[in-house]
Amino acid sequence: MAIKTEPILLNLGPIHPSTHGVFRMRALVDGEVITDIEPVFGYLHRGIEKLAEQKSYRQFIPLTDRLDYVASMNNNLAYVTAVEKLAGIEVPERAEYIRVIMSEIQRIISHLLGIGSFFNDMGTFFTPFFYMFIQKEKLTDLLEMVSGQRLLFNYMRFGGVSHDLPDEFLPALNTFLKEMPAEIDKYERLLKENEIVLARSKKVGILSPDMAINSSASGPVLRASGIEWDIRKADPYSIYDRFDFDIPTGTVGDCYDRYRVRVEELRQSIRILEQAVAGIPKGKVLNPVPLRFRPPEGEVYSHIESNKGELGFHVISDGSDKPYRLHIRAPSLLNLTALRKMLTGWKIADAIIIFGSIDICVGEVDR
Amino acid sequence: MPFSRFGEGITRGMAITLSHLAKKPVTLRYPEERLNVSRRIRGTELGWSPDNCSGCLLCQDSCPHECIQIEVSGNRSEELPAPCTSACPANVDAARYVSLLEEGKASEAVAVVRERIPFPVVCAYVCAHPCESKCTRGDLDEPVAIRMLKRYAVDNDKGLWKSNAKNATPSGKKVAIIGAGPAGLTAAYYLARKGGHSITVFDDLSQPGGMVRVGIPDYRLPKHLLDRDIDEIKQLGVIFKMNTYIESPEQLIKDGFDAVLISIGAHSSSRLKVPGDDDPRVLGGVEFLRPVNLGQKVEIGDRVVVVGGGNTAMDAARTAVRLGAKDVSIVYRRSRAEMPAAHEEIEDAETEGVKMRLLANPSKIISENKSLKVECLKMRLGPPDDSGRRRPEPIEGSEFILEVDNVIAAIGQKPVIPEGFNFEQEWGNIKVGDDMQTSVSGVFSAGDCATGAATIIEGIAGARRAAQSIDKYLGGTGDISESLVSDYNGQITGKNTIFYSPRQPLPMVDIKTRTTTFHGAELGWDESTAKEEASRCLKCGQLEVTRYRLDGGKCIYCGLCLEACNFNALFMGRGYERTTYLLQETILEKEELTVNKKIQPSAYHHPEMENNLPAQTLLVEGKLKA
Amino acid sequence: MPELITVGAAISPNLPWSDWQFGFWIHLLIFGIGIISLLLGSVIIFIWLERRLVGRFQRRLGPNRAGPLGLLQSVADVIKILTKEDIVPSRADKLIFWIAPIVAFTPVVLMLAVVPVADGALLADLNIGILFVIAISSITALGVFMAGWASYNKYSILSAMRTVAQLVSYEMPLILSMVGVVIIAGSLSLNDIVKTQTVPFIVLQPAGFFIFFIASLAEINRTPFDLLEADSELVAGYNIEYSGMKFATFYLTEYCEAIVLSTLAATIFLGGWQGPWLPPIVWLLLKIGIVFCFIVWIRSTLPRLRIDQVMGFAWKFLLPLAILNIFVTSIFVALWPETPAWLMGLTNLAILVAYILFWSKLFKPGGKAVAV
Repeated sequence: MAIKTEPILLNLGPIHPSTHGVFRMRALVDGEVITDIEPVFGYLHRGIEKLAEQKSYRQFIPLTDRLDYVASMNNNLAYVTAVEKLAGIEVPERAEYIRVIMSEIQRIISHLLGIGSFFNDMGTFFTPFFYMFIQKEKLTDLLEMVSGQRLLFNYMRFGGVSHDLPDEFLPALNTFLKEMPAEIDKYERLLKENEIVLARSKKVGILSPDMAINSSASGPVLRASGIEWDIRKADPYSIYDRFDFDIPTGTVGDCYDRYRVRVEELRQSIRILEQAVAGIPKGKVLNPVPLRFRPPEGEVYSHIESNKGELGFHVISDGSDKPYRLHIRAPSLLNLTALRKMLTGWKIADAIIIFGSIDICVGEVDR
Repeated sequence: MPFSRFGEGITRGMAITLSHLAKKPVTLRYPEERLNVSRRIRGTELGWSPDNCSGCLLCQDSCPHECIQIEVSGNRSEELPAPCTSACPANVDAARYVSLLEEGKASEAVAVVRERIPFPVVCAYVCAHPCESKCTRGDLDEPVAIRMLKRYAVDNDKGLWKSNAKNATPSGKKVAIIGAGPAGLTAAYYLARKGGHSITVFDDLSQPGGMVRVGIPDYRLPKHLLDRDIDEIKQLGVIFKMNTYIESPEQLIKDGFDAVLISIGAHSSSRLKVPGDDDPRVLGGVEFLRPVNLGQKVEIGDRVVVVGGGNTAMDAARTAVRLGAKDVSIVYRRSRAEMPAAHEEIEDAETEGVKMRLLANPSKIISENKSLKVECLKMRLGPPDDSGRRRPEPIEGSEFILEVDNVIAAIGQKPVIPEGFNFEQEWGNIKVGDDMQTSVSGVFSAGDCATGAATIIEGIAGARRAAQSIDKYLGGTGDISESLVSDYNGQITGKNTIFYSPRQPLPMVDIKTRTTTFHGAELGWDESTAKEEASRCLKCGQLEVTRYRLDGGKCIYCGLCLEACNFNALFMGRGYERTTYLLQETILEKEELTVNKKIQPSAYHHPEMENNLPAQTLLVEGKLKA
Repeated sequence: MPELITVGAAISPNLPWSDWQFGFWIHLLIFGIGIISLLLGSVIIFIWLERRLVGRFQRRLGPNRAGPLGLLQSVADVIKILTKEDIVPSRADKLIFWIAPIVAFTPVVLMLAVVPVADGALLADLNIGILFVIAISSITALGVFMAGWASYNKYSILSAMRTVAQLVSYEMPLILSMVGVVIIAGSLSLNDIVKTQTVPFIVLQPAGFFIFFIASLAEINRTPFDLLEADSELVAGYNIEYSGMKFATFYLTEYCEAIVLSTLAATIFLGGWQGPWLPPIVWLLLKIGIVFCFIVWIRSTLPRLRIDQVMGFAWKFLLPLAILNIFVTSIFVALWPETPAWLMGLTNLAILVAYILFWSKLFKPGGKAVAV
């Protein structure tokens, strides 16, 4: 006689330690196995796209900080380049270099956090997280030096950046760049070949290349599936065409590959930073633009390779000082498209690390 | 990844954690230990200094969350100079006359201008308006069109200032002024009117006005308007000795003059200094403009190249168009952003069909029978030099050839100092001290010949200083300030929000008239347009700030207000931990303090708002039941 | 009551009160109070130790504010937790919800009854000491399951299911690993086992210690087997709905278990109270501390296994190894009783290494999704 069983509905989130914010997954669980899952989001919806229509172009810059709040600089950059494209504003050379430096620092910060919390989801008691946080704090100090804030920097402006780098910034960054590769090696020795990590993450949550493309995934999630697509190379913005770096890709598209791609991107970011620090010219950092400037009528879509994938801003201007409509293509949201397929059939513990390996930021998912 | 040694990864990882056991912990024991990495702070101690605040409301306008509110009213008791006023070399109180024009008081506005300069009409038409580039409204969207407003004022002037003007009693001293340009005439005006000296102005041109007369084409400044300003000076009894060439200022002192002012201007164009620039078809900018402006007939070929990017280059190019040249182009070695000419001048030149060949520099001029061949090199912008402009660097092997009939070199002017003027010189100019006195006692100098080629308003400002020094030298007080609007005590109406209104367009005559005749190219404004434009002024520095309100509960410390403030009135401190989500309010009006009008930060505390709140709000449900 | 003495607890003649009147009751009183106060006191110290140590492993300071070196942090936590509101979910099974913490906590204290702190100094010198420990320790699982069931929470029920599966599986290798020691010592009494250890049994039985240690990590739900708490998956596991004193009891249980199993490891494999120069109790505490620090070290390094991997590890890896260990040990004891200790130890170690190498050939990382 077979035992009569029935699946239970388990709410993972919105208040849950490993949903990285207030994300919710309604999981249908048969024992430990997830048979169906429905992502529910919107708990952090602040209507940022609608708010943009009420604020002048400049007033919206601080709000972009609050999209992917671990990488404010990249959000600033994406928005600012979109509006610059719309209005045809020129950016001084030095400001372009500063922007690249800030963007790569943010990529390192975000990836360190992403890898650290991925291991936390896997069950390490915060040790890799803290080792990475120590390095992340050094970068946060650097960004505080530049912008005066530690999280929501609000640093970029149309036509450049708000302030020049302080004198002590570049030497401090150089010191960091010298010690960081050894630190990355240490993270690698700590957990790269750990049997438990391999057992937990290899061949788990495979996102096939076809599925990755069809679900318009981007960033490390897409690259882990073996597709060499990086907007910094595919459609270079700012001055990324001047730097020499590689695009790390995975082979299988499992959780382990996603973790490997992020670690390799740390090294590539350091390479870009080294080149940028060596090549940064002197000069002004801002072509001033009026506070309430009015771009010409028209629309523009501009995208950058953010830490989580393709971050795009679609700005429509009706010639007034406020955007007529502004849409944000958030990589975190689109990377979740394939979540249901990736999670079905896995155990609850797997679901947590698959979700963790996608590395979302709910601020960006819900906007 | 194939591996056969189970446990190796775990062991290696455990070795890493063990190695961290001996390392120094990074924990920061706040507040005994503090992190001091940054001098740049956007902390929570947001402060405001009422002394610096000009009440321009830019901070309020740039705040994304409307947490700053500033209330302004009435005239400021302690004057804070507005940026436009301090930007003017002669310190013409632009802020004040723009305010007067908002009320339509054109005559009073002209009187305000007259307090500082004797050439209101000239400046209204052709001033380089440094005030507009410093205008606070320019930070917001576009600067107030201060020069055009002044033009409206002088067009509608009823001569009110004369009734308030007081002439000084004659002092019996004689002053000679060499050169009847704006600088010389300004000094003549003040020395005659405020010092009471008797003035003789010498000039070797046939008519007074100097560079304003011979350098500025009719379409920018019709000559009868220049005569309006000069007539006022003539009425003061200044003796004009035209067509007189002065050999030596010492001779004048021997002839009985007590002081001499040299303001001979800069009337000689710099040469191109390239091979072949001695061809007669290569003209200097001012040498080309002078006969045109004196009404003489000037022949010019069909194809003209003007070298240079300043106002003289634009004037030469536009004049060449009006003389019938078919193909006029400007060659400039930097890019458009670096051009020293006024922004609207460049635009007007392009509208009239002048072509811009930027990032190019002539390297050789080849004379042929029928035409001139100008060989140019392409340039690129290198790193910025000391002046902040990017230095052009030639690109090797990028030569190209322009075939033209005439070349006009408008790359700068320098003064021609006669042999008999035995003064110390500096950079080709007459060297003067702070009091504008040359190395010879009693001989002063002002204008382009002392400073190098500059703008009219700078010449006037120098002449004012020279007039003060001469008056003091002659035993006077040196006080040339005056108040021509004695009954000026009108209340300035303050606004508590900035309304958007675009800069009024500059009316121009049709393009055919512009390109074929020398009629004035710009048209004036009517009263409503002028009032509209004047109302765009933010009146910074003129308003009393009565209330400043910062909602600490809403502020996100983005720092946009600090960046918007031009007056250093806002600042942030490093008090991260001292966050108080309270309304910070400063009321400067004493009467206001007696009335209890405490405003709460949240809309929920506005009783009148409760009816508008959505029904599902718990707070309102409770209220409705009760 | 001579029967009670012979059946329940024999007072060792080494103790001063063994021949007093009511000596038996005095013995119970002294050791009862002693064990409970020592356990509760050491929990406070060990919580502090763990937090400081994990902090240092992670390059932090750990608790450093309450008292010197943060020593009063646990005291402050206890005070805080005792003043918290005691919340019972409305649809919880109230009686079981109340009993569960007691059921979980009591057996842990009882286990210490048979652990000697010096020669003959123990509450009850049972001749079936090890059997007693094994029997009693299983009851904790029942308390945890009751808590998970009674809370009426999906997370806690998942955690309870995992607990039962895991604890039952790991009982097996845990017991079997001790059998090797029992064979060598020839006694089930812990006092006898300690006294037999002229050489600590870890030298003779490295494989046994290896199995015992891993299995006891699973028994006390420590990383990498902390599935029933799994803070990133099940939030807090079985005690998710508990608060106040009841939560404190569970927390206490957890640490007491860790201490008790460290004690057992120290007693059975590390020579217990034996050691030169220092008094026996100090030696015992020192050894407990070392084992506990090792547990903390593992906790601060390793991630957590998945439930099927945990189960597979017990049944496929530990159980065969434990049986192999018993087999080899029995052969030595039965056929060559005079074998020198070093040979026995080396053979054991060689078997362990060979087994691990063999098993890692079969190890396949990753998993496969269940077809739904």
